[in-house]
Amino acid sequence: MRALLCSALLLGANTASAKQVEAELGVGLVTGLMAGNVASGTLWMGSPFKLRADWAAHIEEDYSRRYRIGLEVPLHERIALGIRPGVDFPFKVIGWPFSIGLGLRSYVTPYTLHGVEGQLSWRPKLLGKIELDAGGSASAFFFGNDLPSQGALIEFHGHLGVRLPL
Amino acid sequence: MRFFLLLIAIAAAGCGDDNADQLCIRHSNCAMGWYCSQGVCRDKTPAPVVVADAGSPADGGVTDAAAGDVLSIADASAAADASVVGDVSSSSDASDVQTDAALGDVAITDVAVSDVAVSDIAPGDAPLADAASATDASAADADQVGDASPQDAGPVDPLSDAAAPVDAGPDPGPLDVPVPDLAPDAGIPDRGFGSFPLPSFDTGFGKPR
Repeated sequence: MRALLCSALLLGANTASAKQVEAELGVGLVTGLMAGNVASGTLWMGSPFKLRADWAAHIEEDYSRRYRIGLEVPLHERIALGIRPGVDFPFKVIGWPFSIGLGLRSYVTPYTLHGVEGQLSWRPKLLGKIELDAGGSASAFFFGNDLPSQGALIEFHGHLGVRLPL
Repeated sequence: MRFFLLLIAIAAAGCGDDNADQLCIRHSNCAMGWYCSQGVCRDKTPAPVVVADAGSPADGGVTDAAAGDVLSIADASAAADASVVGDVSSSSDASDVQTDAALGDVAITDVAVSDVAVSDIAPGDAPLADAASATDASAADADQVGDASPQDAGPVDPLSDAAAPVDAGPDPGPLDVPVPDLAPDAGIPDRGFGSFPLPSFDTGFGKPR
């Protein structure tokens, strides 16, 4: 009996602490254009489709910002793994939920590519708790062994996905 | 059956050698074994030894790309073209060079090309304006080599030392090769689809300084 009480208290304690982190999962696809400087000037190309997944959370009921850590995998060209830490700032325009995000974007293996990213998302309710996540993002890469020497790369992406509160 | 046909189509798309002209911005835009340099995918593997052909002096110009001096390549190609030189210059040396080239004297042609391209012509010289001097230089070098080389009139041996300095060895290309240990394709299978190229718009962004 005492063990049951302790277990219930522990569960209650865990529930209480879970409220300090209101998390959500997001999954989506992105694609768009990329531009880089080559010998003849600026070259524009289509950017490959990428699959993104991220975990984001409001910390301690601070709904003005949401911290996230995400993964990214190109679906064609060479397989790679990228990480996307950042912060989102939710806001509303005429009742519609939007979010501006700033963060880093790095491919870590098998090649490296490091840069920054800014994004704008529209996140209306879709089904129950599930939210649509549609928007665009711009990234700039300056470092990494995937860039030719004296190269820089900018990507403009559109993204579409869903977000599920946990 | 349809599944196998689909597999074959995918494999064919992934195994084609169409990366030679593929545009790229990142090394990962290219397939495995290729790297991106100046917007074009290039092969990392060494090129096979090509038998020298006196009738195509432009081959020497391409091989000279190893020097990485694009301006010199253009000048050398123009100067090494015996017909162009012969038309512009009235020097009898030009006809000597042209005659030697027509006879298939690879040693002379190759040495003349390499000498003109690298040593005797300054990069800033206009190819046509200096055609006479370039012709003289080529002829002079050709005479020297002709005296020294025992293979002047005979067929070319691709393994001989005379042809080796020009045609042997891979084209290293510009110096954009990624660090081998961190190569983008290290151990990673290539999906082979590649990204689709779009027209290049020169917006002036990020031009090399």
